[in-house]
Amino acid sequence: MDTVERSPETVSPVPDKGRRFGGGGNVERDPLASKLLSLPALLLVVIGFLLPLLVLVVYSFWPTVNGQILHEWTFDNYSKIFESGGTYLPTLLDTFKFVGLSALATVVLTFPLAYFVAVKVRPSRRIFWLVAAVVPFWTSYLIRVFAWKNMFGDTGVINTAITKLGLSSTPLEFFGFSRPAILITFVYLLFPLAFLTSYISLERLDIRLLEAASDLGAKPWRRLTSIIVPFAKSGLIAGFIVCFITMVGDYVTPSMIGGTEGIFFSNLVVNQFGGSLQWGFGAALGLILLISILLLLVALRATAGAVASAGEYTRVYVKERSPFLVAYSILYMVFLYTPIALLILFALNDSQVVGFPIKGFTLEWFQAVFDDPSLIDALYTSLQVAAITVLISVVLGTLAAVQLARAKGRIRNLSLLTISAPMLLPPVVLGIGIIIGLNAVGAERGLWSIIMAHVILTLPVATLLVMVRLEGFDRSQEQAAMDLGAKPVMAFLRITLPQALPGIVAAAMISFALSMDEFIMTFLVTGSDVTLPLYIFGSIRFEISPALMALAALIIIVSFLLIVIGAFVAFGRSKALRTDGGSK
Amino acid sequence: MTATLNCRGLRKTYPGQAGYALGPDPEGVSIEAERGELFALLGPSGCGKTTTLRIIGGFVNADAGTVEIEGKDVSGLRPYQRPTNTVFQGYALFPHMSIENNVGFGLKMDGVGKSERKKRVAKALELVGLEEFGKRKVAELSGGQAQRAALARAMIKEPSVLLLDEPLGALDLKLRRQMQEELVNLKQRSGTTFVHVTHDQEEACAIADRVAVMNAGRVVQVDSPVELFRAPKTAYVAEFINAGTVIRGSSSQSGDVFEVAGNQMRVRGRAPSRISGSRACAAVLSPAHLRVAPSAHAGSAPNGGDGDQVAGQVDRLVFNGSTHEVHVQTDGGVDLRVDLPLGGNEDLENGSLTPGRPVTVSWRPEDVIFVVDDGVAPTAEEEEEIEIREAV
Repeated sequence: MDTVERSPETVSPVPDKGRRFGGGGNVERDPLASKLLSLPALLLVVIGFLLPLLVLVVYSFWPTVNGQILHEWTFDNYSKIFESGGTYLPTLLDTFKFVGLSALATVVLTFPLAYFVAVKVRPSRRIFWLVAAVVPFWTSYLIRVFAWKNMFGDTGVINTAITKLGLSSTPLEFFGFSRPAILITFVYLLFPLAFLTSYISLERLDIRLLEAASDLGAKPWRRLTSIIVPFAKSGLIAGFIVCFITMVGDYVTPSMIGGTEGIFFSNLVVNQFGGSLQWGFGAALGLILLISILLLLVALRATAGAVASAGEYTRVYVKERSPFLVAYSILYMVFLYTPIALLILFALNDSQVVGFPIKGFTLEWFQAVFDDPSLIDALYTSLQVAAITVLISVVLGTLAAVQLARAKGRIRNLSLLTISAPMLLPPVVLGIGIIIGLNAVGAERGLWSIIMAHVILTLPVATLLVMVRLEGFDRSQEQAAMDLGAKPVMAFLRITLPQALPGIVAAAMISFALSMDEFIMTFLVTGSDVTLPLYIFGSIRFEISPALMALAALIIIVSFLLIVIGAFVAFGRSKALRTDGGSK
Repeated sequence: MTATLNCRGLRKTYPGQAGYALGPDPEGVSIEAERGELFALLGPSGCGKTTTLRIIGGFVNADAGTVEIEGKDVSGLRPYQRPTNTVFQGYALFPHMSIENNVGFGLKMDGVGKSERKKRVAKALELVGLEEFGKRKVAELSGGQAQRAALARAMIKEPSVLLLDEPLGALDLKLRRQMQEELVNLKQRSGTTFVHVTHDQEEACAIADRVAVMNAGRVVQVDSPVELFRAPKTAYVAEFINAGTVIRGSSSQSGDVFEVAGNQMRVRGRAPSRISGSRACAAVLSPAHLRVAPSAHAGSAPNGGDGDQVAGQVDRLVFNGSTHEVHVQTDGGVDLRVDLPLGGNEDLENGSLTPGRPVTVSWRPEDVIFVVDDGVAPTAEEEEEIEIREAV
């Protein structure tokens, strides 16, 4: 046997102590644990996120006179916010109260459905509920706001129906453009995120815990308060945070749906960067918002306490029927799909007026969409931006994820925190950070500033998605490959990467969807470029035309098809993987 | 016979852990495995057995010491450069590949052509009885089949040394017994040197040609299973391989007679050649060498025994399929196990050995094994606790 002859040139004497401890793992000298892999992603976050935030801080201490930033240090911007009788602090409080209520309502209203799907639905059927619940999230945010704009108002679908049916002689204020309307729209917009966070935490709930509680004499209500809610607590709080951050940074929905009641704090922030050009003051407002959110996060973290043990994924479910939960879940689906269904119906209605009555069937409005050259341009711009964004985010995110999944300790935690930090802030703050940063270095805005903003938004998501996939991976497989003669990089390419592929594909899909749909930041950082959401915003702001309905319907149908196809492809895969895990 | 594997002076520390995980003594750990031998590394969790295996495989670099295989120093070589292959704990089969591709992976990495590869994969699968399963996915195999696939994958490159890391740990008892037999067969047919890591003393003794018993980073004794039972060197070894009841105490010697006096009982026997009287000692009473008889009334023998016998009462009877185990609690509080062969025992048949009955346990002085007392082996329960802690 001459196998010992392999690569004699690397024979070295007894290794000197310490030299091979790099990486901290058992397999030493692992080139994929090199910190260089995370560097590009980190640099990008530092340049595109941390530096702009620092500039934001600096600008907040500079006054704006006649539209010009003066480089003089002053507290004027802050004293203007805190002056008594001012509108800024009351608006901040009002916003936090309303948004907190909306986020709470979203989480609470969604919980029964998440519980129903996670505990009561047979595992093989869960995918249908999951897809049904999540699909609306992937249809354009603006279109969903638009769908509700269409429902509310004195001449909206709801009030028209109410007056036509003779339930009331005058339109009801509740369904006008007001606070309740914003709340309903917010619940509708953020429902899928709240659903997913609750569902994920409940999916691992061992139903034997419930049986044990009943066995020990707990009534249903006590089961809910002493077992189910504590078990899902971390998921519920995560859901609340995600909803809160998105809502508090949303300056579109309130102004479109809320009418005169729709001025929230983020509107005040954005207004400073519009016509009034009060950049220093805007920066100060942005920072106040940011600090308030961070304080809230710290407070929530303190109340959340230790995270409950995750439990095992089981295929067990409660077979006992629950008519209340079934009815609730079906109603919720009706709530989710009615606005969408109406959009499609009106798009096909042969009438110049959007709304009832239905006069006939036509495809004329769809034709009108394709005849609009500026729409085609916007679509092309969006596709360009999304493609480049996906490429950068997925490549840099995967590289960083490979290293982070292998590393341990402080530097890793710090890198991870840095890369995911943009997720903790509302996009409106990220957006003003970027335009202020660009302003500071005197750079022109353009397509690249949009791409930059989108990468900052999608990079954390891409990194985390790939990392989660890689972390669950059994490293002894790589060692087995090396044991069989594969060099480390070959082991990674042949063994690790193929198994991480679903994560990478998911990262690409989600980054693409986020980029195609991004409005909040894009609106702030764009120069003269018009992406699809910007185009849609421009169109829906003032008039509701049947052609717009057709465009919305088109976007909904296309994203619906893409998501459904993607979900079923992914589900086929994850099913195979799950059985792998089960054989261990 | 020449040593295929020769490890000298291995030592290893892990960052963030105090002390040496392997080789706390300056001379380190040295082991040799002969060509074609099945060599077992036996010990509880954290004893250094897996670290030793991983050093041989190249997954861990030792702080000191060398590994020679077939007379060549491989210490500086990476796993993919070494003439060793490993059957991993939990198998580490590649779930995204078919069994064929798993088994052929090593040949592919070596640049072996497709047709040659196909032939050798078929042969390797035949060797482990998986001819029909080549096209299957890993998830479609049972535990025993996955085990065989991992074996075929590791053996296809005809390594000088095959490393097995707790390969049977995941299997149930019946399957484990069957796979033990197959491992021995496979070793004999291939002539490969096997180094087998396990914490299961029954498994090590059932299949190994020689066993290295390890404790706290040291090799305590290397011997054949028979020799381990006949002459364990220390109390730790005797306790770990379950050679009998271990009585610890102070020793004394007068002429040919050696005695260990513990708190609860005394044991007298023939003076051993290896032990000088001054060290802490222990006596090992093997269940096969003890005799038990009903005594007329409780306490007929002195409380701690007179060195050749001890009084007590039957605690419980266990029939284990091949012998009757009589568990006796002595008046001094020691649990002794006596094995009685099947059939022909009057006392057992007439009910004088039912729980609670007073008995006398006796032995011949020449059957007592005296060993150095080097510490206590963990019980099965403690062992489990350690594993749970490590898993967390």
